[in-house]
Amino acid sequence: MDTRRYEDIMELAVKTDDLIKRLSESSLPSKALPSHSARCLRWMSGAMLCTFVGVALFGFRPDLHEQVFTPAFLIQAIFLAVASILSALSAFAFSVPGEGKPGRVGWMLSSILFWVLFLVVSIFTTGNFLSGVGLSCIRNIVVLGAIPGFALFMMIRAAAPLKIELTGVLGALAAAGLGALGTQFICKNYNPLHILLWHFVPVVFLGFLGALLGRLIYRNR
Amino acid sequence: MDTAQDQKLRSWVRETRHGNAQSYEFLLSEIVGVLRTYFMRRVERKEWVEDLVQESLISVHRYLPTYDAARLLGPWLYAIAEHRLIDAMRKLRRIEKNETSAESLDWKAVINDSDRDETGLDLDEVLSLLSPKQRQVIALLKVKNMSVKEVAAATGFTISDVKVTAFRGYETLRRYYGVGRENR
Repeated sequence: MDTRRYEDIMELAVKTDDLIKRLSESSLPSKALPSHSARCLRWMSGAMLCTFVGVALFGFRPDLHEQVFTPAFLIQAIFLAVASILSALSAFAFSVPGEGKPGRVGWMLSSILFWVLFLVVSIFTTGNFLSGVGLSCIRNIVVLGAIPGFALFMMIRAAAPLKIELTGVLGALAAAGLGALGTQFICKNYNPLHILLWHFVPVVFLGFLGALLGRLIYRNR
Repeated sequence: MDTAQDQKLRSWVRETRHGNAQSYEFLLSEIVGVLRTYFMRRVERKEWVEDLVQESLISVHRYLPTYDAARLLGPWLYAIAEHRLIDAMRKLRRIEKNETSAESLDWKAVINDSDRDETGLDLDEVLSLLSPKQRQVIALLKVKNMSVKEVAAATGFTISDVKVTAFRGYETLRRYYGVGRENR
């Protein structure tokens, strides 16, 4: 038996008509946000500039001219750049209802997976099990990623992120990935175990933290 | 939503963005029809459909700036509807979880029949705090010790309605007597 009688249902339908009238008489939603890819491009330009300035302030590593064209450096830089770009693009896409693409998230995760596999293989092929302590690397990643991360979260908040935890994770990974990419230009220790423990692990941890941030920042959106 | 309908809605979105309030009214009215059909197919409790439609409509109003008019409107609209539906299911699960804990309320903490000091009350006094429907449901559940299914059959209410009515009745009594948090 339907607990709501016909009259109750009709009353609700009248309320829907009222709601339509009120919404169409209120301020019209006449502005359109730029597309998610345009917003992402805007963010990336600002974020790259910010990261470059941050790296310059911290100081480029003294052996950069020797390391920058080595395969290990280039491969990791590419993985990080790809992961960061795809995370950002996915985060902006998921901020528009119906535009999030799970496939793109899969590519981003693959990029991160390739990075860790590369590091693990390098550890065993070089036989280098020294990592050193890298607290300054964690600091660099967080500091370099903080302003771009803040900007990204705010830009996404202005849209309509429905999957709040996923969007938070993607945003945090984008910012942390950029921070790790910048740190690669600062950190003198290129041992793969060091990079695994003090660059990769913090990025992943910050990514998970993004889920919490997403809940806090996007909850009432 | 077919292509022709989608194109019509998109043209109204464009006109709304040029400041046409009437087009916006047409847009929302048409969207209501789409949403009603969507929720009628997916929601067991038909009395929830209109609430879901209204919540989705408010979301459409808030999120319309994010819609890219170069793309189809359907995926954008259905993503919002799906989100509202998932929210509603979560809320229902929360209510049902609370009802389960409410059923373990120590009835004796609320009625003290044997020791009639100044805080002791009898059953009639307790039940008089409730609405007639809540009184009927709770009396059958707790005094006659009927199951939820049996109460639904006896009263003609649905099982969900019996649970929600009982939950609200317990909450009233809990607030009045300040008991029950420790009994959850």
